Amino acid sequence: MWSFANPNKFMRVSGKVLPYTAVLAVLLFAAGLYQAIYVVPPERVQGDSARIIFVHVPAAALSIMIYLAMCISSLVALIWRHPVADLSAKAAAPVGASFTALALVTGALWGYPTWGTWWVWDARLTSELILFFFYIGYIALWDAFDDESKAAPAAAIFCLVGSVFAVLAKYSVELWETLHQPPSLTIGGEENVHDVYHIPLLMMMAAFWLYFVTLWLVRVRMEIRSRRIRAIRLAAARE
Amino acid sequence: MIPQYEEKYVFAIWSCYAITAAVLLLFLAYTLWRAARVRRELEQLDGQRRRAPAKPAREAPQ
Repeated sequence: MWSFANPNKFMRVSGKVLPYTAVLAVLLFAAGLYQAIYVVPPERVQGDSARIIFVHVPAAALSIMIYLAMCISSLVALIWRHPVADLSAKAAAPVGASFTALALVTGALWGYPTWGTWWVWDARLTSELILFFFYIGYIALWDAFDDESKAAPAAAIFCLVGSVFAVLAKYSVELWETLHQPPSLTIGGEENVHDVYHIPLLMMMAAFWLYFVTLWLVRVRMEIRSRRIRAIRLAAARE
Repeated sequence: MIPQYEEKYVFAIWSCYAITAAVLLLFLAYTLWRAARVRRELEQLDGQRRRAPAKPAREAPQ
């Protein structure tokens, strides 16, 4: 990981990886959506509305995972001053925010026909909403400073504070009795979805993840270039 | 070929898929547009620097 602290090396390696992640994301989206829309049968209790799982669960799971990844990046940036780590967290935030917004909106659209309400203040929904506000706050904090060297530590500390809500969003359905169902996918635990739904759901999870990786690489490359532009302008102004 | 779903769920299903597709595609397009703009700007600045006449090196203090 430390070898990627060199922005030039990061640009070189990411340039080679990007086409593969993009093509794989497109293929997985095509296969996953075909399964989700045409192949899987209606669910026993929720009927056809269960098809929403294929967009809602990947968006919700990634909204939490991206925030936790941002926390790790922020911690690395704060402790070791890794020059790409703060840019990595900054680049991931808008993608994470859009996934969180998608999880909230698709959740509301799914909730109305199945629960009879768009919204309830239960632990999962509320912690996800607070997580969305933390994403927005993090993005706003980067924009609030003219000097990037001051924005980076402030945003990193803010990100670490919000990690509480990312963890809460993940475990709220296990810790409390909520209207929201238990997790659909768990690592090594009991699965709450039938095999017919399981494979397409994993395909869509992988597609969303690859979409994120592609966008994240593009955005980190953009941030590295923006930093170079600022450095050139600063040097020109000093001459 | 549009699949037929239960009437009461049609709005929820298609709005979820439409909103997700719109957000993912618009965000991708916006990011690529911004990245291309930043890349062009950096290339222009690099080009200007290369074209600029080299400044004489300062003499080292005796």
